[in-house]
Amino acid sequence: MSAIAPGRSTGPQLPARYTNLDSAHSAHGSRIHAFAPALVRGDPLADDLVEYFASRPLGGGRKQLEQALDHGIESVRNPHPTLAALFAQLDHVPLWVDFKQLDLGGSVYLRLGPLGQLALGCAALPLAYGSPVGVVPLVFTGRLTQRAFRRLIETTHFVYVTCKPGGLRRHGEGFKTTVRVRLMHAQIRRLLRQSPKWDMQAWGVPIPQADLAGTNLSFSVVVLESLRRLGCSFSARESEAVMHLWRYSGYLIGLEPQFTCATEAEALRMGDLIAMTQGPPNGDCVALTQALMNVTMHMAQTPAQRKAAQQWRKFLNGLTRYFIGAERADALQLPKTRLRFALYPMRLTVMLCETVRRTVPGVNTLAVRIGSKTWGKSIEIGLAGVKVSYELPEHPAARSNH
Amino acid sequence: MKPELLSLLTDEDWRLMTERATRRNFEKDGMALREGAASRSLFFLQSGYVQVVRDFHGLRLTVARLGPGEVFGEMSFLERAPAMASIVADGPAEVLVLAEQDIESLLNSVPGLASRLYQSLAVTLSRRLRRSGDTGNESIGSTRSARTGFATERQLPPGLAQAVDGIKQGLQQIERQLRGRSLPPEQAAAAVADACDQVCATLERFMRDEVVVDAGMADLLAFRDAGAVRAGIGAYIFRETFSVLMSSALVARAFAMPRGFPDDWETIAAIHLDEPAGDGQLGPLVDRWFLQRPLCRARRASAAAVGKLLATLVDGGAAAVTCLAAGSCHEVLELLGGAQGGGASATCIDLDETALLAAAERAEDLGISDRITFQLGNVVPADNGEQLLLPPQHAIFAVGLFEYLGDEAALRLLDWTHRQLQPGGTAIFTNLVEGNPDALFMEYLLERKVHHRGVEAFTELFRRSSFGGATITADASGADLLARARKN
Repeated sequence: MSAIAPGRSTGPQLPARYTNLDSAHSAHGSRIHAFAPALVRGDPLADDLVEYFASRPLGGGRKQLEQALDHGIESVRNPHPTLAALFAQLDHVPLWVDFKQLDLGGSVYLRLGPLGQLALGCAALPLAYGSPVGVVPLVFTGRLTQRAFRRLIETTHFVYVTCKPGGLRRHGEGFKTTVRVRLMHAQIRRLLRQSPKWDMQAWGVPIPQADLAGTNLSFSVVVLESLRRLGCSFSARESEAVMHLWRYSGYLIGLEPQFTCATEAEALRMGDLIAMTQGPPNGDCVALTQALMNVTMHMAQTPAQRKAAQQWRKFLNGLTRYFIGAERADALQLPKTRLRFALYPMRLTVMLCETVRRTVPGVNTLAVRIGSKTWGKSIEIGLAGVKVSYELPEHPAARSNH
Repeated sequence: MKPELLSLLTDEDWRLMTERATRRNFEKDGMALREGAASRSLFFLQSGYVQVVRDFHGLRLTVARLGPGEVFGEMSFLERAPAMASIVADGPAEVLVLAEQDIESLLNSVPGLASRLYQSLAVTLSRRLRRSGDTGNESIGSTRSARTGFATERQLPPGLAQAVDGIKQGLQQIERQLRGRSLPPEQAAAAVADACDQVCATLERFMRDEVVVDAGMADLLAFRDAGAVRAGIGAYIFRETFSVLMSSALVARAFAMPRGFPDDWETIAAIHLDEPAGDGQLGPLVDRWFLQRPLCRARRASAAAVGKLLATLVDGGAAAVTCLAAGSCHEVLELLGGAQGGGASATCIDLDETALLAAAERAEDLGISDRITFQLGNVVPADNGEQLLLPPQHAIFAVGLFEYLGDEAALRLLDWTHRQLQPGGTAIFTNLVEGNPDALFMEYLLERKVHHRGVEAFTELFRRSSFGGATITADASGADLLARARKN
């Protein structure tokens, strides 16, 4: 008999997506009960606000939102209770938040430059795409594999503005972007709930707390673990700062306190619980991951560029296999490639650079400056002058098993 | 019997009034009060039914039917003005008549009677006024909404503009060819029909659930619901195809909803006439296409099916039949003008005075006007219980009414119908079926809010009503359902 029976619980009915509960119970004990509510809860503050915005004339909701973001809720005349409630939560800075630590965590991320982006694209996102229900919102659009490049760039932009110095301070760009993404999640939830095809019994609430938690982990512990495997090193203070940064990001994006993680150990446990209970990847997961691996093909114009892009795709496949492990990679049908052998000299090079960074004075600062510019430049190229729109957030769910 | 509407009067008030009143008995068609007469009396209907009849240039329209316990003559009494309508007995009727001088005498001698009587009359008028304002039909009198502000530019699905442009270009080419006489008429008709079918297909394609969700997600911070995005897509197609579709006489008329009536009598008459008309080269061809769409075929097929059923039910007998939301009164005129309806009499009820007058004129031409009562009024009983009264009927029917009624209004109508039928009487109603191929065209291009119902939902309505059930069949067009229920 299952530890928890989806659909037969005495509390809120658990969706069928919460599977493999007997094994999960063996590994995590009563934690599976504590996590269960994450499958059935959305984000009431944001959900209520988008309901109100839906009743406003076109553009009215966005205008109020931007006004409150840019000039504070007090600048909005007679704010609707739902808008006031959301901004009361956003404007409240929890006691545990340390802005210096946020900046440190951001600088750790930024100094990694292209390595950080590789960790996002080859670890965080493929793990997210391994969730058969997590990808359903993307499947619903009927354009699962399209827009992959755009979504990758927008995710990169989201991470970049979160990590910039002061990014998550009240009027920082990261803060504003996070709030926008939070409301986009709520709007997706609303749209999907309105669709007769959304199977509430099987899938539960669209983009529930569980998926928000998984996403949050993918940006913190998954990236840290992946980069360690690539030869990067982080001091205890640095890794703690990265966790701190994404914990506060989680707070701003509507994650309930019990589903945020303060330490890597907590995050790894939760990641494993999520991975165990989400079910194996399906065809949609495979298609989405393949589209992600093919993003460089999007930019190739000439035959030579296409050839180079094919090589790059092989490298990404190899790196992804290395990051997420052979079992997951096989489930996502990522091919084995000889280019995986290039990872070993790469790892040695990274380790050497990291040693220099740690030991030679001033190099760390220089790395942060260069890394930051690299993030900015790649986003600029990727967006090709088009304004960031966050069509559909790339991170409906993320999983960690590191 | 003290009229229920005068419940504020005391028993003593009523006794004094009846003492002074004159009792008058009328046979069928007896005139209790003549339109224009300078009567200041109050009339209390004790038994039987009377019709409130108005003369419209020689044509008689019944504007109300009153039953036992009702009062009439109160407006002339209050306003001291000539009677606005005639009161004609619908059969044997007994009326108490209280003359003006007797009323004045009582008002002056009985303390408090004045306030009780005037308050009672005010309640009577208020109820009638309330009833005239509640049609139960959500479409009647509805105003058109501005077709902007539903969705952002980014929320128009990819390929929509291209698809619509393709249709427009195709139609423009046909028009050029017609002007140059390089396209035979039949080929042109087929090509226009094909292009118009593509409009419907485009609506279907871009209103699909996944397309709408995708479109909504294309600009999440616009905070538009799926319904708003659908409306935005519909508005785009509406604007882009408006000039061509509205060149069809029938489409233009259906869209215009003359006097606020969806499916007004001339629209229905044009559907039955089935003769294409319109402006320019394309208008008649678009009209021809529309006349062959499932919606128009359903209207014709259902009218024919109902006509057959009525003929079988009446079968030359002296049956009383009532048509609700009668409009052009097509079915009744066919029935009473035919051999099997020879002995029958009918009541046609509609809110549209113009429709009833036109039908009355045709009835005169057919020589059957003496067997038809054209009654102006709302067939859907109001929330407050106010409703039309009919003598016991053998059959009550409506074609194309139920789709304009929500479930609650439809239920009230069914229960009312049940009460008006004599035991063994039959109710016949139609409802556009769920999956009607013209549903999107109706909603987004003609701006019709209709309640499509499946067999199950239509059956359920009857099951919840006093009928307890009905036999439901699909009509020949496949776009309409026909329900037949019997009062046991």
